[in-house]
Amino acid sequence: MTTSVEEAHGAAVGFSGHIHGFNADVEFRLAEMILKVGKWVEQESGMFLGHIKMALSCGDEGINLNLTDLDEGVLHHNTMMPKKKVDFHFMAAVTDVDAHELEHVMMHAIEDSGVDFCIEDQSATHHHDHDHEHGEDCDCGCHDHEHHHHEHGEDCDCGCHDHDHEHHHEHKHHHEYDEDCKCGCHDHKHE
Amino acid sequence: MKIYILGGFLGSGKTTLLMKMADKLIEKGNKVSILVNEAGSIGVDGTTMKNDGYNSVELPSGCICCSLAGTMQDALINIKKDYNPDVLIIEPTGLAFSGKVKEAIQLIDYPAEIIRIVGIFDGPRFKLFTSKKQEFYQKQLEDSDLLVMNKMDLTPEPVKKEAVEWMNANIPGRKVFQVVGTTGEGLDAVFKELDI
Repeated sequence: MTTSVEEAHGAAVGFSGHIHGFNADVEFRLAEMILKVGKWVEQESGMFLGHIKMALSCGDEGINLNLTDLDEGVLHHNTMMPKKKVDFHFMAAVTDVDAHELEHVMMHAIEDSGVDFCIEDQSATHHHDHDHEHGEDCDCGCHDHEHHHHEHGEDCDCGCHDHDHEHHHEHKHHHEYDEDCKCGCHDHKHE
Repeated sequence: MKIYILGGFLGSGKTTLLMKMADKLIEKGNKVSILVNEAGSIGVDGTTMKNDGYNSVELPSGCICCSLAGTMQDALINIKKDYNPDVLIIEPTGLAFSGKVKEAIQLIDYPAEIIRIVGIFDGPRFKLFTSKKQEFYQKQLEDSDLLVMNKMDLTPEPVKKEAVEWMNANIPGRKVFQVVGTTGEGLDAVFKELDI
């Protein structure tokens, strides 16, 4: 039986985690990151039909970033003072793109945003474990520091992210089942 | 209990209208629960609503009109048992068919006095939807009791006219309201129609 999501050729993916050091600059970078994903959807499907949103929260405070129209841009709801650490939920529900590719693009977009983030291990199917460069330790305790893919200046040739940004998160993808990743930037070790 | 289902395509402004509706109902002394559905594994609006102090339940990872219909039925029973609201507002995913959500509620003989479906659509992008997803779009809105054109402030007059004509021709017999969800403009008429 076809579900309504299938009938609409919809793709809905998302992941959660937290961000270390929230401030106005981070909010701006995240809004740019959401716009980047929206533009990819438009390029991929010929139109952007859908919704990309991110909720950031810390205790009772929270903000929402929403994109439904590329011309309108990312709308910010509420305000939040700078925080040491905030939780985030990042999701996209759009049409006429591959769900796996969409999640991949979202992962790369947040990595390239320059924001210091951690993803909850169970929240993403297209799994990027990541680590900090320059020997810095992350004390968030939410990811495995044994997993490195790009080591000491090794280049990634997938062309979809900028390796020059500060506080760079190296990453490795874990594809479930027998899915192939097209970016060509990592070993295909299957879990 | 009264149930309002706010349907409409992704990005049409369902959540904005939902929160305005919930505020209005709470202001009038009603106990309100909100059930939000997200097609993806991660929900965003549930977190926001909880932060804003609403009594809300979020059902992610599927659609309550089909794959999560059973989960929704269980959630409805728990909402009645745990909170017993006067009004329940349901926001299905923007890829759901509201009529099927209503059918799933009716299947369990839920103690609802009324179940009304509000079909929301995005005025400025009306032509994009009808040109790219017409069949789905029509199927999604055709079970609505009333139709709401959101973002009317950003919709050019000829597009408004065309949208109303399209709705009258393809989903006949429904009133079409024009609103601005973010400012609340035009919502009083919608609330009046819904006896809120």
